[in-house]
Amino acid sequence: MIKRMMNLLPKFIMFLFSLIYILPIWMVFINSIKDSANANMMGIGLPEKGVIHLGNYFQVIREGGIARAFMNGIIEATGSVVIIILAASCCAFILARKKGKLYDIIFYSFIMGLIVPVAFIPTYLVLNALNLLNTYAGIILIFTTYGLPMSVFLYTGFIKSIPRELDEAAIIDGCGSLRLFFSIIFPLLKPVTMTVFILSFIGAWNDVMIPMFFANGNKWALPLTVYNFYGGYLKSWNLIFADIIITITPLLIIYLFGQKYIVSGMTAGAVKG
Amino acid sequence: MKKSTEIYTKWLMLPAVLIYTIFFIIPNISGLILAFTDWNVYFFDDFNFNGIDNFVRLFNEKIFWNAVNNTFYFAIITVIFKNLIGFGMALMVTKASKYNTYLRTVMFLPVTISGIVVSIIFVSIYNPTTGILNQFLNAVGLEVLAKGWLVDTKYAMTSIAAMEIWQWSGFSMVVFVAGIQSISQDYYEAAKIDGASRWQELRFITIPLMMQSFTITFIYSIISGLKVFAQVYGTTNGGPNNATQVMGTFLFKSFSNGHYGYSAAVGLVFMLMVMVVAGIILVVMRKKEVEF
Amino acid sequence: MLKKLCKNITSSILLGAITLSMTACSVDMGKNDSTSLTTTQETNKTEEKAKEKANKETLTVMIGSDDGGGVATKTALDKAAELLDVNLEYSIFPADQFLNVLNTKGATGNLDDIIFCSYSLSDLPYTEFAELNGSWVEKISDATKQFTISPADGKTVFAPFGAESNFGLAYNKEVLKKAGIQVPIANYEEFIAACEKIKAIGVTPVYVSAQENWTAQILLLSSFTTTLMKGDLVDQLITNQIKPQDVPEIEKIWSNVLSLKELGYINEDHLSATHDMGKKAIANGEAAFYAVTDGAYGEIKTEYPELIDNVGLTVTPMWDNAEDAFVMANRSSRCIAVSKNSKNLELAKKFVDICITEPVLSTYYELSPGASPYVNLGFDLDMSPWNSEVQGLATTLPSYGDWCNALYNGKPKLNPFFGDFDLRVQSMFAGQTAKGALTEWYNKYSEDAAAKRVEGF
Repeated sequence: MIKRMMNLLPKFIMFLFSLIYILPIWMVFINSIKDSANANMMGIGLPEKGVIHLGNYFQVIREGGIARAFMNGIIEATGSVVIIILAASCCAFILARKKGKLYDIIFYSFIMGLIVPVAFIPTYLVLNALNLLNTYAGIILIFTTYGLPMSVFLYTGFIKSIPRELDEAAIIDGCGSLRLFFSIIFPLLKPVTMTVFILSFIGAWNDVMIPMFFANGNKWALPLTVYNFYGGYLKSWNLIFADIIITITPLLIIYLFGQKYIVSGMTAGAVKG
Repeated sequence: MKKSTEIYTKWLMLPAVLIYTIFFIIPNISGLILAFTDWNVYFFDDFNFNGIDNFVRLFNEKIFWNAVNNTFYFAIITVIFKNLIGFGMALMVTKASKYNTYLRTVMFLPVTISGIVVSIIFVSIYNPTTGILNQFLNAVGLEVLAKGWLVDTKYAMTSIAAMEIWQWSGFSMVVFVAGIQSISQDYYEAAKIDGASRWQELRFITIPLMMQSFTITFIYSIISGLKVFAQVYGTTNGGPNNATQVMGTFLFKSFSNGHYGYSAAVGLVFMLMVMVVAGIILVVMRKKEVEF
Repeated sequence: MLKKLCKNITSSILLGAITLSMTACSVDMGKNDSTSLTTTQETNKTEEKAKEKANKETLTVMIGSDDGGGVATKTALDKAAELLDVNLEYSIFPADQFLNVLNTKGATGNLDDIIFCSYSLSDLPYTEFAELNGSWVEKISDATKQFTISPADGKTVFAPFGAESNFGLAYNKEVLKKAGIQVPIANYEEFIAACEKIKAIGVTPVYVSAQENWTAQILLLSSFTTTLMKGDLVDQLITNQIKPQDVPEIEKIWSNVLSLKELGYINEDHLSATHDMGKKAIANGEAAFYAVTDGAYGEIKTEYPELIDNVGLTVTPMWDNAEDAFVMANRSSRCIAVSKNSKNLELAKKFVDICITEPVLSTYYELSPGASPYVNLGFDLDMSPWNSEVQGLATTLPSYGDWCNALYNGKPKLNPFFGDFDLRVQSMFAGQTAKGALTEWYNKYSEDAAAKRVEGF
């Protein structure tokens, strides 16, 4: 009996610990279905008399332009993630296989990208010169730019762990270098591709500064919609919380579906990187 | 048959290198040059080189040194706790079970939320009167511990660090779980035969063999700790009385004020600092890896 | 395997999208079922609107979250869009980024068609705005007129929209009656005496909500401006011949404000207190005074309708000499401008003209009452009792607007020098000394002035 208790105790402690992670999100959720006065109190109790104010969500969807913001997020995040995966894996393949000053310079300049903060104004001027301001293409390319360093880093580490003999065997079988990469190497990168996919998607989906500076409101994604309600003078917390729930739900869904790949991807990608 | 190095065509790098050059290298190199000018938003088409004026101004600003202090404080605290909590959790949840999947899911959840949104959530949690944190402390009779988390200059920086730890410890955990899972079971079986205690297993097998995971999370958390921005911007924006000013917000403020030349200089100094610190850590950690 | 994975992910994204839109639709419908016929009609209308939308022209609008976060602005602008039969596309920027974005986009000719902003304390990209020439230009009030003109070329570029603002101290009538105090109070000494009496009956004399930095500064904005205007002090300040921290009169009035904290006359949680909490305190009589702009009238009225009549607005007597007393009756708060590079320039101008008509202005002033920035428009706009009260005071006391007009021929000389004034006031309540706060204020505005190449800096 005591032994059983001793076994359960850590589980129970872990449960309490996990509450720390859930409670803030619960607080947001429960206050998103309360009326304005009660939401301002930010309690974690159920709504008064069990009245659920779903109206908050309608108001947010209507006034926040949620539908468009959602589509924008999908377009920008998916677009940049696809380019990141293709461009970074190709680039990393060469960086991992070839030796020489040029490749070192390229590799380390990508590493710099992990450290350097975004240079907004020069980037703005570049986009302006290329007529890419206020376009999906512009935002996607900037997201891609800032997603590349981490991805190149992870891919390079992983590809180094794939034996070269594989490449040589493929060449003997008559593969060209493009076919070698896409039909032999790329499929092997699956675990790290998953990691790159998730990290880049989260990064692009959640970024606010890049769309804010480089595009107009009609190209903004969900996180910026909160500013429809998070004003300086007036704060309606019920609407802010409803907006937050709408903003985080899509990623939660993706995460819940894809979570088993995260750990396996990290095993393969991050750790070997 | 081709020689093996010729099969790797350089052109495969082109898309990535092209995008990166246009949107990263070029803006940043021009940023480097701008650091030595008085360029600002008021005279957008007309700027002059002013030597190292911007750097002199920067190093003379008391708030800047304040920001450097705060940044390192924040980075050190978050690196320690993100990794401690992440590692501890990882040890608890590595075995495959439904309950552990639940724990992993829950702990990684905050990673998926936008930094700005997390800040807004914690502004409400930390509210001294209505926030759930103080309400909880009052309810369990710990009124003494109830503080003005974000508004008291003594606690504000630590409160923001706690928020960052809350959000990212799950990420460290996942990397550690991955590291532990990649260790072959043979080692543990061999250790069992030798009669090793659990502590010895941890000390002599688990930790050494997952040193790479530590490198990853250390580098990742030290860089994100030094680059911290959204978390501070969204909660206190450097206030009250500059108590939470960090490099990220300091840089952004100089940029928001429209002093672009100056802001480029701040960015340059900032970048060099992060590079030096991250470089030292990388070298130290890589050495450790080699030892095992 | 990878293909399958990608498929999985794509399908889950799509699934998410579909579920989300479905829930939105289905719940919308559920709502209509449960409510009256009118909503159903409204739904029909919205459907029709959606069809029309495709054919209509679109104007883009930039707003800062300060101004766009409230209901009044969007409701009024939507009304104008309906009248003109155009679509509006909003970009609502975080308030502290708005000026930066405006200036960057302005400098590269990328502004939206319509810009809805405050007459900012710092510089706006005036030369990027189109000249406006609706019939309303003639009717702008004197206090606001000067601010609608571009300093660069003297053209009218702003259409005043928000009310002319009155800054001051909101007071709880019942509390003051109980403590035996009459407003307006003549000077600092009498104010301190009043605070003592209020404290004696167990009420917080002055409420400060310094967490939101824009609120605490009102205490100073509505009290120290006349001190600045004595002699040629302003001219000396803006040419860097003198620093504010070296002027004893300025330091005195800042210290007076800070003394409220030192003497224990303000709420203990002043650093964490928010504007929401301040409004609640003044409405419920938990505090006797609270420095606000008249915009708070509409907010308190919405939130505490039964208590609003109990709250009035008066001057902020932080000055030592009663002769320094003045009423802070200022220019209009918010305005509309049009980008001169707009592709729909004519339409955008028409939009502005429609905004300054009765249906639109009445919609706005009903939600956010205040003193109209126009004279002889031919219709009355809702003004709050606070505005009447302050206008009453202005018959015996000088007002800030008159002062500006008389002294500087309408030029708001000091305005570009405010910099991050609000943060400095906040830091004073967070433990900075008056002199220290003034020094930081000076450091900030002198950097800006140097960047703007102002002579003397």
